[in-house]
This record gives sequence, structure tokens and C-alpha cells, in this order.
Amino acid sequence: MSKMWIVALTVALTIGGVRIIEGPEIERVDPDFAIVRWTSTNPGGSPVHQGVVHYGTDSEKLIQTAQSPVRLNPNHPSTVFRVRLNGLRPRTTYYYRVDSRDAAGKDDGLKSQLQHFTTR
Amino acid sequence: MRSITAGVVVALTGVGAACALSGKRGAAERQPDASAFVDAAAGAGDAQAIYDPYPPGILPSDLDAEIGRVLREIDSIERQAIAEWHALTPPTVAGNPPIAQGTGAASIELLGKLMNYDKSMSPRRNQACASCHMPYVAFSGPIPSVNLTMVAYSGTSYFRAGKRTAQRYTYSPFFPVLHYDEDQKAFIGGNFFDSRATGYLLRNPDSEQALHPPVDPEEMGFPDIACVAYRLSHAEYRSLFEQVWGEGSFDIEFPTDTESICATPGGAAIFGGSATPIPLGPGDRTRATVVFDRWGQSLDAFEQSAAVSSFSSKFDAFLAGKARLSADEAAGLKLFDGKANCNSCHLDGRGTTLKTGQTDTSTKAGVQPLFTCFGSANLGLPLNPRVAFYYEDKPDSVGQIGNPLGFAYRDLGLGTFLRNGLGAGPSPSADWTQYAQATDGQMQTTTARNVAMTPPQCPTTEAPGPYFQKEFFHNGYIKSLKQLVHFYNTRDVYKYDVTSGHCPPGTTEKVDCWPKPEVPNNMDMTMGNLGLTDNEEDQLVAFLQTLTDGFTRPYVDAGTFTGQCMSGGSAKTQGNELLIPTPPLPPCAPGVCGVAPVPSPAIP
Ligand code: HEC
Ligand code: HEC
Repeated sequence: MSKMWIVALTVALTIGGVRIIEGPEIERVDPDFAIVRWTSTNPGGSPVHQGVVHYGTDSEKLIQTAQSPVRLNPNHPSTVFRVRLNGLRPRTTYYYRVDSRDAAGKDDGLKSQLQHFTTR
Repeated sequence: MRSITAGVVVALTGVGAACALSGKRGAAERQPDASAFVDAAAGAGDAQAIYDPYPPGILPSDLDAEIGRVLREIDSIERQAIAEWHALTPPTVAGNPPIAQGTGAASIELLGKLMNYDKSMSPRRNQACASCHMPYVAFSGPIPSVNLTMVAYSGTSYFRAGKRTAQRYTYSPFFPVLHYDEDQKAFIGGNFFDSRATGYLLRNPDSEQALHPPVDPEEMGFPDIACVAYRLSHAEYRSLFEQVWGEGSFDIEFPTDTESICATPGGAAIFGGSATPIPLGPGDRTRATVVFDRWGQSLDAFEQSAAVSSFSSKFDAFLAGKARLSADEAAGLKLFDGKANCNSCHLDGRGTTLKTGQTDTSTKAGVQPLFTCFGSANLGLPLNPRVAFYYEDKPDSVGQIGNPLGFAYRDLGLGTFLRNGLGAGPSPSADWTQYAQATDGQMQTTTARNVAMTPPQCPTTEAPGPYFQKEFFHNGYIKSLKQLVHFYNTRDVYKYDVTSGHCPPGTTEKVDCWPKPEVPNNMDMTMGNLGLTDNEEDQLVAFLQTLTDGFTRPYVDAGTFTGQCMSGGSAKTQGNELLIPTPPLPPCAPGVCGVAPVPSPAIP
């Protein structure tokens, strides 16, 4: 039972933080709505974590933030984060970076590249 | 009394059987077996005026017949419980502190059972706890047509109903006292979907839970908690109560007009808002309150007993190494723990997710898993416009209005409770109010155990059956387990910006169209796009069906259903013939969304 958990823990220790394994990418994009999705090593800690997306139309100024809760599965080596972005403007390009936080608001220390998407 | 006229065909036969929603008004004959209903209503001495603010089609056509059926089933179980009690050897009190040695445990469990099936525990002697919680559906709602239409069950004032599904109460006694966990930054425990039965005083949420229905005007509806002590003092099983809780328990001087006060439903205008219309001196008031607490504790004993929370499912047998899961069930378990990630919330005490070729070698769970984390989440369910509560904006015969807000009401679950809000009542901790915004829309993670339990003659919840129509989640929007799993799997894939009943042409609601959530705040994103195939969904359903008690030994009173099964149709669209268009929704009322700290972002 604890085998995978130990693997995840070791990985986290060697790399020295939570690491993105897949994404971030756009799961779905509408004229006014998008879902950003990524998979990271399981950050552990409080069962509920928040996925956070910093975004904006100026790549230098990601002034908006969206966050959505996910529940960690202590038995899974990795965690899928998905965040809802509401109230977007149609046919507009948005730039974004992601991170995640534990329930107390403590940053999991993710490093994510600047990405972009365009609404429909 | 008028006949119930909205035409809902209950016994569906054949695929796509028409459920006429109109054109039947006035046509339905009252069925002969509705007599139990008439007797019950007349029990209080006056025939009650029926409360019916509902547009045609909201109430099912067989409602009074079905209430009558359930009352007969309740009476017959109560008779048997009385016989069981007479057959029970009284315990011997021994030791210090004194213990009722031998049959003390059996006595309190039986006392709780007698209370559960006692319909005199309502002003009009027409409703017991069991009216909404029958054993053949793991103590959830026993009326298929109600589950299919109005969602909530009528209380003692026919047909005034609440706003949520009648929850299964198997395993409810195992929930801890509600508390804010500083490490998890989350609320854990309590009973009810919004955790409002906290257990802060009795130190047990389930005992406290049993104190709510007797004085909830949408349920058993007494005007005063002392009515429970009064009616118990006249119960056939009074001496059992005294044996369990002490001689002299009922040494209370009730005024002569107590019966007439207790025969009048709570909330009646004549009480002028008083919660204590029976004038009792302080000593008698305290004794009556103690009896009321004992009522809660006795019901908790019943609910925790092996007759209710029995840990006798196929999955329990599998954990004990005494049963093998079928290929589909085993695949479903693997999905539950792995790809579908259900056990991040419905903790099952199992090991890690398995890769192809691996076997589960985790040691047997030390305690039997309860399939809940005791925490809450907002799954983003659409508003269900069939819920009876939305239509209760007119006064009933005693002058009470169930829901003055009509469709401006929104069910914010835990968030509303933390604000002492409408429909949830006072919270015992002002410290909790600050967390209201973070919990708007959250409902407690129900145990997945017994979700599939049905009476033996209708062996499944799933069309084409023969099946027993249940309803799922707090607002009954989901009508089959296939739909339940499909919702988790595809909520965000087939997301449409519409309300229920308005899916775009070319789509089918619940198949490839999910209407927008009632409460968009704090929506959980663990689920919503799981990437499961149709077959994998079916495997999860097969696994959920292994969680039904009664596999290793018979489930007590499981065979008491005397109604009819349904058949025909498909589990994917089960109940869809009764979808109604949600009316244009007024904004969330200030009475719900204007209470500080106000929801953020604002709820539409
Ligand atoms: C009119 C129908 C009705 C009656 C009568 C009724 N209940 Fe319920 N019960 C419900 C509904 C609806 C809920 C969920 C309500 C909510 O969450 O707000 C519920 C919830 C519960 C729960 C909580 C389960 C959990 O896991 O949190 C328990 C326990 C319970 N009822 C026991 C009882 C007992 C004991 C009685 C009699 C004293 C009773 N009920 C009478 C409808 C009813
Ligand atoms: C983020 C936490 C979470 C996850 C993940 C989750 N559930 Fe639930 N589950 C809940 C909550 C909360 C409820 C009660 C919701 C309500 O009534 O509005 C619930 C209720 C249920 C119920 C009881 C329904 C009823 O009416 O009694 C079943 C069965 C269930 N879930 C199965 C599943 C399955 C299968 C999965 C995986 C596909 C799953 N759950 C994943 C939180 C979760």
C-alpha cells in the first residue's frame, strides 16, 4: 500500500519540490470559458489543494487569478489539477502560468512555463 | 379531501413508455388503498386541509396511495417490533456504574426501532421517521414516484415537503462530531448534507440529527420538543423506555391541553413563533428535554445496530477473503481507486492504484471502510426544478409558508449553515462563519455504501429492470447509478450554459448535455472529465452494487416492500421523460446570498 507513496516521496525529495509531469494544457476552451489542466507529482499534505492559474491578455502582466479545488489521493503518485476560468472574452489570447497550493495557501513550489491560448 | 391528479405513470412498461404529464388532471381515481391515508389524517380528529400550491405534474398521481402503502408497511414492522420486545428477556442491572447486563444493548436498539416506526410521533399521527427512511432501500426514500418527481417527501402536513432527498441513514452514526480540522483546513463530520446536525451537545451528530425531524415543519412537525416526551409517555412501549432510561423519566406535569397543542403542526400562526407553546415549569421543561435527548440517543442506537449498519456487503466479504469479485466488479474497484479517483473522497481503505498485471496485496483494512472522508465538496449539480420546495411560496392551512423565496432560493449547503442561514438553522459556533465563502455549494460526502440497495423483488436501481426507482445526490437530479457515474465522468465534457430542461436540440440531457451548476462556487475539479469509457462506467456501477448490505447475512426487514417495481427504458435516460423546463431563474435572494460573509464571487 505504501510502496507508491514512498516512490512519490523519493521523487519529491530528489527533485526538491513538486514537479509538473504533464501539461499545463487547455482541456476545453469556449468563447467565455476555459479549463486548464496539468499533472504534477503528488504534493502531499492537506487533502484539498487548489490549482491556481495566473492569467491575463498581456504576457508581462498576469493580473488575474483563477483557482479550483481538487482532492489529493494519498495512494496516487501523481495528481491531476484542473482549473476553471470563467468570464473570458471571446476570440482573445490569454497568457498564463500555473501553480498549486495546500489548504492553508502554502505554495507547492511549481515551476511552470508561460503558456497561451485563444478563446473561440 | 381532493384526489391527487397530476398524471405520472408509475409502473413504466416498455421502452419509452409515455409518462403523461398533462391531460390527466381530475381523471385519476383515488385508489382503494388510500384508506390508510384517510384514517391517518383523521387520527387527529379533524380532516386536514391538503396543501397544494403545486402546478400540475409536480406531485405524482399515486402520492396518497403510496403514503398509505408505506404507513401500512410501517405499522406491520412496528407490530413485529412490539412482539420482539415482549419476547426479550429484561436485562439485570449490575455493577457500579450500573450496567443493564445481558440484554441492555438489545433493549436500547429495540427501543430505537420502536421509535423509528412509530407514526404517533407527529401531530396528526400520520408520520414516522420510517415514512422517509425504509429498510428495503437502506433507510432512504421508499416511494418510487416521489423519487422520480417531487424529490422531497411530504411531512405531517400533506403535501408540504422539504428541499432535499431523504438520505440513507445506514452508517450515519459513524460520523464524528462536526469540527474544523486545522491541518486539513476543512470541516469534518456532522450529519445531514450540510452537516448541520453537529453533535456539539450530545457529542454525537447522529443522536442530534434525530432531534431535528420531530420539530421540522416539513417533516414530523411538532410545535414543541416536549410533545415527543408527551407522546412517548402514552406509547405502548413506554415501560421499555423507562427500563432503559430510568423510572420516573416521565414525571412531568403536562397541562391538560397538551394533546391539542401537540396535534397542531409547528410553525402554525397561533403559536406566534414560540418554540415552547406547552407551558411547563423549569424542572418539567428540563425533564422533557432529557427525554427528547434520550429519544435521539435511542434512535442512534438503532441506526448503529447490525439491523441498520450491518457491514454485510459482498465487498465486506471480499475484504475478509470470503468472496470473489466478478471480473466487472474487480475492474470497477480498480477504477474506483485509480483512473476514476473516487476514493480520494470515498475512502475505501484499499491500497494504491494498480497497473496492468499487478494484484492488490495491501493488507486487510483494520477497520471496515465507510466510503466517505466525512468532508464536503461541491459537485456542481444543476438546479432541479422538480424539487417541491420551490413551489411552496404560499401559506398552508395553518398559515406557514415553507419557502417564501420560491425559485430565488439556492441551496448553498454547508455555506448557508455556517451563516446560520435559511433552511439550515443556527450554528453553534460563531468561529465557523468566516469559512462560509469557502464552503458555499458544498454537501457532505455521502457514504457510497448501500447506494444500490433495493427491495428483493426489484433487484436493481437501473432500467430496464425490473427496477426500483431511487434518486441520487442531495437534490435527486440523478435517477440511476449509470447517470451518477456518467456525471462524474463527463460533467465538464458536456457542459452547457443552460438550466435543466433546456439542453440544445440534438443533445440529450444527462447523456451529452449537463446543465450549468446551481452553485458555481468552489466546484470540485477532481471529477468532471475522467476519460472513462462506457464500459468502464458500467464496471463502476457493478462495483457500487457490491456495497449493498445483506450479502453475508439477510438484511433485517429488507422484504417489507409491498409496492410495485418499474421496468422498461434505459438507465442512461431513466426519468428523462419527466424533465421539466426550469423557469427563468430570479437572482439568488438576499435571504440566502445576501447574508454576511456574502458568497464570492456572487452567485447568479
Ligand atoms: C419527511 C421526510 C423525513 C422524515 C419524516 C425523517 N427524515 Fe431523516 N432525512 C430526510 C431528509 C430530506 C434528509 C436530508 C436532509 C438534509 O440534509 O437537509 C434526512 C436525513 C437524515 C439523516 C442524516 C443522514 C446523514 O448521513 O447525514 C438521518 C440520520 C435521518 N434522516 C434520520 C431520521 C430520523 C431518526 C427520523 C425520525 C426522527 C427522520 N430521519 C425523519 C427526510 C426525513
Ligand atoms: C471531490 C470528492 C468526491 C469525489 C472525487 C467523488 N465523490 Fe461521490 N460524493 C461526493 C459528495 C460531496 C457526494 C454528495 C453530493 C450531493 O449529494 O450533492 C457524493 C455522493 C456519492 C454517492 C452517493 C449518492 C447518493 O445519492 O447517495 C455515490 C454512490 C458516489 N458519490 C459515488 C462516487 C463515485 C463512483 C466516484 C468516482 C467516479 C465519486 N463518487 C467521486 C464527493 C465525491
